[in-house]
Amino acid sequence: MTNFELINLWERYPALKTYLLIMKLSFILCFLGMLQVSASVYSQNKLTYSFENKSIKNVLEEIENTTELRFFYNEDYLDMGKRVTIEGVEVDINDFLASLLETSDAGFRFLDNNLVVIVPKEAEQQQGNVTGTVTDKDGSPLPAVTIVVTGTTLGTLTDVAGNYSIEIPQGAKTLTFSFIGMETQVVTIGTQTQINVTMAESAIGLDEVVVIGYGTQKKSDLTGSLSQVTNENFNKGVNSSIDQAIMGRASGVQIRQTSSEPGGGISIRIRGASSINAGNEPLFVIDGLPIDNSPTLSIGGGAGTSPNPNSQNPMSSLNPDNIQSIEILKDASATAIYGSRGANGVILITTKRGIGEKMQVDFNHYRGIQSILRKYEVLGTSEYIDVINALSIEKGNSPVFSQSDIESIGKGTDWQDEIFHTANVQNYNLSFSGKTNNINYFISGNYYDQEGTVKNSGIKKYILKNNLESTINDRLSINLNMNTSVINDNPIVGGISHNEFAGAIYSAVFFDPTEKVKDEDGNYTISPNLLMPNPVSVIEGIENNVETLRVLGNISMNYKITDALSTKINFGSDFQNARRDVYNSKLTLLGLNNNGMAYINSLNRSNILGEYTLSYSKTLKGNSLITALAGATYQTFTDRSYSSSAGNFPTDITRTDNLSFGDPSKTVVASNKNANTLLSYLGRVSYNLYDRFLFTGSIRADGSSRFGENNKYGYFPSLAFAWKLHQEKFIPDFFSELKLRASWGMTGNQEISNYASLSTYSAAGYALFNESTYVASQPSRLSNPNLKWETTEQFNIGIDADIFKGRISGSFDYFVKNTRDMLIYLPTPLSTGYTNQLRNVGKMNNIGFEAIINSRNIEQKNFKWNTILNFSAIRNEVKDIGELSMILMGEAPGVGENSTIVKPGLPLNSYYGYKITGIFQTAEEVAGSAQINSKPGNPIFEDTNSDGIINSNDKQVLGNPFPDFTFGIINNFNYKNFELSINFNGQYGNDLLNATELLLMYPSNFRRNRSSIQTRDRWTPQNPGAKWPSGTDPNTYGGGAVSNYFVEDASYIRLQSLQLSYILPTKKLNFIDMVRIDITGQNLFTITNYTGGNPDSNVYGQGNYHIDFFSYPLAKIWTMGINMKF
Amino acid sequence: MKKNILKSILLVFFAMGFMSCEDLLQEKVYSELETSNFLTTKSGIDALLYASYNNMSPNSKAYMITLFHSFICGGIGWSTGGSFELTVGKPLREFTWLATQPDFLSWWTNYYRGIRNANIAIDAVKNGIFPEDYQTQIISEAKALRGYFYYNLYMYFGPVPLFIKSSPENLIQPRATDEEIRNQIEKDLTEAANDLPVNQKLFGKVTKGAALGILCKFYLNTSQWQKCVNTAQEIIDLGEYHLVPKYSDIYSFDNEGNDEVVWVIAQAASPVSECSNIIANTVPQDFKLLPGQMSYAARNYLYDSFVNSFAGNDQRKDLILKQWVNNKDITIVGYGKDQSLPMKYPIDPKGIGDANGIDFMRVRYADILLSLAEALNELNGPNQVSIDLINQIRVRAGTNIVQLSDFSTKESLRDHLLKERLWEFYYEAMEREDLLRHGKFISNAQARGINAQDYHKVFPIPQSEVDTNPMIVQNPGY
Repeated sequence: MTNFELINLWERYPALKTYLLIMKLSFILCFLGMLQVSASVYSQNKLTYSFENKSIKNVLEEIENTTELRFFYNEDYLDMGKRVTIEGVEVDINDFLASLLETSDAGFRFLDNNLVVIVPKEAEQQQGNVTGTVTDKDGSPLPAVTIVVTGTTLGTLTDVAGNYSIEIPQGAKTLTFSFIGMETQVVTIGTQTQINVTMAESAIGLDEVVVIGYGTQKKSDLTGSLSQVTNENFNKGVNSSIDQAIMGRASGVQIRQTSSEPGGGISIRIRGASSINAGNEPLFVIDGLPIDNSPTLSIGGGAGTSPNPNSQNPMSSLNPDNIQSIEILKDASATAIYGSRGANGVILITTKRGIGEKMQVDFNHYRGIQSILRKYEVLGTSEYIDVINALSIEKGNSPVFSQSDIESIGKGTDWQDEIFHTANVQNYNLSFSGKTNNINYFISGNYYDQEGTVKNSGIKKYILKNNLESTINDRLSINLNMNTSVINDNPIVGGISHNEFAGAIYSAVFFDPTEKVKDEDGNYTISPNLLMPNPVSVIEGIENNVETLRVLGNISMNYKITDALSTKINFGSDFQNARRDVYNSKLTLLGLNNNGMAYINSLNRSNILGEYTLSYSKTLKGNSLITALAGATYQTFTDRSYSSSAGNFPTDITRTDNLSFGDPSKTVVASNKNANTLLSYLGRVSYNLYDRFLFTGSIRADGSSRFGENNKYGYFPSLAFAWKLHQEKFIPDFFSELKLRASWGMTGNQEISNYASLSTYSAAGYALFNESTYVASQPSRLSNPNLKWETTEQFNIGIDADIFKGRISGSFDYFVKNTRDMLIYLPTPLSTGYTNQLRNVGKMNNIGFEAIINSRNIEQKNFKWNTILNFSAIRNEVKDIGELSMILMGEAPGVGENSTIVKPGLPLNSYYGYKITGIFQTAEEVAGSAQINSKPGNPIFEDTNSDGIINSNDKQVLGNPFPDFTFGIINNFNYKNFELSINFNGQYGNDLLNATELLLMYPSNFRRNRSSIQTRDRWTPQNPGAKWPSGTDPNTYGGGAVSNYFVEDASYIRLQSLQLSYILPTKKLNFIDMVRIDITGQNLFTITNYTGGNPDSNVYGQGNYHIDFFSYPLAKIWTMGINMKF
Repeated sequence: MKKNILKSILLVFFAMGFMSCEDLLQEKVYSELETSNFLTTKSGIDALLYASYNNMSPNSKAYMITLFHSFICGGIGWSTGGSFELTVGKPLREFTWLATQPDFLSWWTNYYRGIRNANIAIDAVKNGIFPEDYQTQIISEAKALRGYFYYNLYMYFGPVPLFIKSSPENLIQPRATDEEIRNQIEKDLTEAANDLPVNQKLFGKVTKGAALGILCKFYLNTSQWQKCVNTAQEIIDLGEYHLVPKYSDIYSFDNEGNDEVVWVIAQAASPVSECSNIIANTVPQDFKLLPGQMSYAARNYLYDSFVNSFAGNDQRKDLILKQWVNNKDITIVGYGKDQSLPMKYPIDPKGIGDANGIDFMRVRYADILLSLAEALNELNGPNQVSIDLINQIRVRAGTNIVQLSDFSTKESLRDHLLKERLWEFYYEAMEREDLLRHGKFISNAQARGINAQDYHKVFPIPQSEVDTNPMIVQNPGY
């Protein structure tokens, strides 16, 4: 095909040209080298032409058809219809345009990549200073409006009186005025030196730019499903981490605070749980750096403390005040660009940048008090004495407490009062931002100190943030984002163990209330009747400190090769150095027995990123736009850990500071190192056709070291289409936006442990010969060389709508997420010598609907009310788990029974156990039952298979851990300078295993304290209608059985936060821009039927099964804050 | 010009930085060992076999449970307190154990791990790079351990799936037949005994006597009397073993590894080795222990009826505490309330916390002698050799000797042998198998008022195995 024919074809079929252009572009992106040749061809080229009596417009169109030149012009003010007759041979393009426009009122300017702007002549030359005032439609000055010279990074902010002043560089044409919640305005500068602007309120900011994977996009051009939460919309009050700050703010995103401890664990599910054994947490990307957000060190274990699967939240290392916005990518169109890490959704965090010539100083401070919402319901001293005596008599023994005992006991001890207290929280934040000499800077320091409501627990954070952006020239800019944090964490001793290893809350609930805190000698009492540490001795006697230093950041270089094509090199790193020190002193039961126990554990974690991307963006004729991205990225993660423990210390004084004081024969050391690597290639093309139809296609080829020899690479494509219906005539005008979106794509999950595909040997204890130890080693696992990705295929359709100019706007999405080749630790018969094998089997499915609606109910000069409602309903179902019919999981701590089941047809980890149908009333009733060893007052378990025995075959499904729906309702009221913000959130329809209450029903020792819920309505011959069993010899009735009595409805609605703020009238003070004070209450009340500490808690942290076990109680928090801008 | 240099640099980055790094995805193993660098060395094979040794008493649990199981369901004592009572103690007392009970799982898991490790060691050592004597050493030790594991599994659960290769073709195996499993146990132990040395340099390693000792117990418990006699005689003929003169010295710390030890699981009170928690599990929490030592909420008591069964001058009952002084200097009387304490095992002077280092004897010479006496009685009826063997034991216990004339029938001597064994081996994990062999396990329990049934003679296959192995058939009754 010759050039000539090609040109003819283009003329006949303009769409073909576009198509070919896309093809060409993709081609170019793949072969950068060729692109270098074609990029600047026309700017040096000569034209041969001949036009007779054509309009200027026609001429320009002809040129566009035969060259790669593209023209931009506004028909309204240019005399484009004017007819001309010109011709020339090998004329320079500049000369040609000059002669073409000679007699018109227009001039032209070349942009770099063959783009030519036709502009009015008087606008060609303009420089100097422009000043002005920006007001809202009522004439009130608007402070902090961003003013940018369009197309540059030069900009400023309005001051408190709405005034600004900006230097206009040569060639600048327009100024862009933007302000959150207002329509962005572009004003032509022309000859004006004063430009006053009235800003109109916008809808939800259709023209806002949102961050997407490896780039940005206009919100109105999105094809995928994305939730954005900007800084102004973060949850009010105390947020120790960014995930707390967005809890309940985004639809389809369920954020659970699995421990209410300061800095406590958080678990996030974006569009449901999509994996059984691989991770379910989303990928976090901070300013373009994907991080490993898995918990660092466990806060339990070592020195006689309980293991604690609920780790602290690693996100604590970011200061929410430094975050500009958070974008949550939900559907596959948005996440497939993250390939093997996209299946659980992606959370993009963008930190603040400096803008404006004037340095802005921000100071925030709040302080407050926290108190627990409610205590665990156990018996008080006198009630305990009565119940223990009664139970003893019912057993046929004599009463435990005589009258004289009761007198000497007196008030006894409320152990919960001894360990809980009202705790302080304070936060200071200072930031400087602005722009000087082409460097945009944002520098911030943060000090955060939150005590826990359990004594001697809490977290202190010191965070420094430094973002610098340097514009070297109009093509090259370099960026530095750095976040440095030091976190001192004092978690409580908690976790899943019991008896002598009991944590503070466990022992405070169970400890005998007739005991005193200390004996006559001033030592902590040890109960002769219980194998459990004195709760106060746990608080005072065990030191548990975690110090984490984290340096996280990236440097990038952006270079515009041409105006359309730019490239970016990004290097990032995330180093974490965590060390945990535990000392169990002689004040505690175990510490005393072992003469002090010390444990030190340290972890060095590194994450290094190298990335190269190339992006292309070109405006085509007829409001069409094509953008494309290609890139390669390499990331490697390394963990190194070291631990040592020692015991038998002569004194407690040196604690963990000198382990060599310990008995050398009791010293144990261990270390570990492992690493994994990702090497990926990615590409994306978006095409906006006539600003009506949007197409996006992306693909990522992801290689991971974690997978089997034969399956190193996975390919994750996505396709999406959106239609801006509001651009169509048949849609009524009151729709300022109506967009239909549809997407399909595949994402993966690689969150499994390293080496899962390999056959390796690890240490396996010791053999003992001649009283000496010999290190043993055994296979680590049953290897699987065919291991590959877990693949999630997602289909999404959605609508974005905005009516009455943003008075009501919303997004609605329906999605189907099918996970296949699930990475499951498939139990193998134990007779093989192996417990399980990681294999790609099974399928799971999540179907959901989510909606977010923003309504500006009242808009008056002095009074405004707006409401944001989000709602999501997700149904999870396990479809297939290979050859097995079910897998039992979720061991109930302290009981040793599995409490959940994974079975096709059921939601993942449905609660599973026995059903109590009532209480035996008479011996006859017992004799005729399947529990002939029972007594009246014992619970009746349902014999589901009617075989006359109660055994594991009688277990049944008891509940669903997933909510039917979750929601958040946020109302903001503004009256003059006052603002009231009320945020409710909640969930409905999910169950939670209350293992605390379960353990209280089966106390392993007679003298443990009991649940007052159970004892107040316990069965006695006089109380035959009781719900709870007699409590006499509880071990004899199905000891520890997980039953429907403990699978509780965990639906709740909570007043998450309430904030009243007031902006002080400081207009007359020159040195200050704004002062805002507020009073905030958090967790003020929760409406729930759940009887445990917190319906969100999970002792297994981010695990897929949810069990509440002596959870850290939720705190009610009141704070007062001040926010000043200078 | 400057611009072009920059562009070139970018290009080079793109081309070189990422295109040629495929081998980056090779997974590098740091903290673990790979077959290629591990199983090709002697120390690798040794370490694998050590793991198999370790599987005999991982974290002491399998062995502790063995001991408690036997004495509780054997009906000479009981356990109370702590979570142990809830999950194990009470079901064992009342014969209400279920397939989900954690201790069954612990046996099953650890013994099969031991079998797996032995299988890998046997196959790996045959790779042609090791000298013959080393091969023989490893294979004989591994077979003795494998035989021991299968023997234990067989005694608890009946025939179980047989794995004798390091990489089985099929991970799912049905239960072997009774004959297959018996043959395998006999073969492994016999072959091991042929090749094992009489003395090992390292105490705690399996010896010729140990393999024969287990084999002898296997023959005894499977009523293969003549083979039992032959094996017992073979052990006696080794001339290695003798009775310790004083009964209480068998278990003393000064006397670990004494002449009576035929097969022992060695223990030490060190935080890294396999320590026992026998004392912590035996005595009440207020028991006077050494500083820094503790006991659990669970404690084990002997029934008065068992304490009363001893003759007055029998020194073996001196290790039972009928009363003691607690840590508040109050005298606690357990006898009379079925709460006498079995204090056969000494408090470890080096013990800290719950750790105790006393070795756990699985076969001692007294057992071989009484086994021989029993087998001879079964073959020939009452005979002087059996009586002399019994009297060796009784003289050591300081109690009256018995006469051949005391036993008119095979049954009467058999009944005495059972009693003698309970007195000699109480709290040593023998009660259950002895009662089972004598056909008294179920009837004795019924006599205690327990709803014991024939099916209780074997324990249920752990539920996890049943759930994951579609070919397994659960023992009837469970």
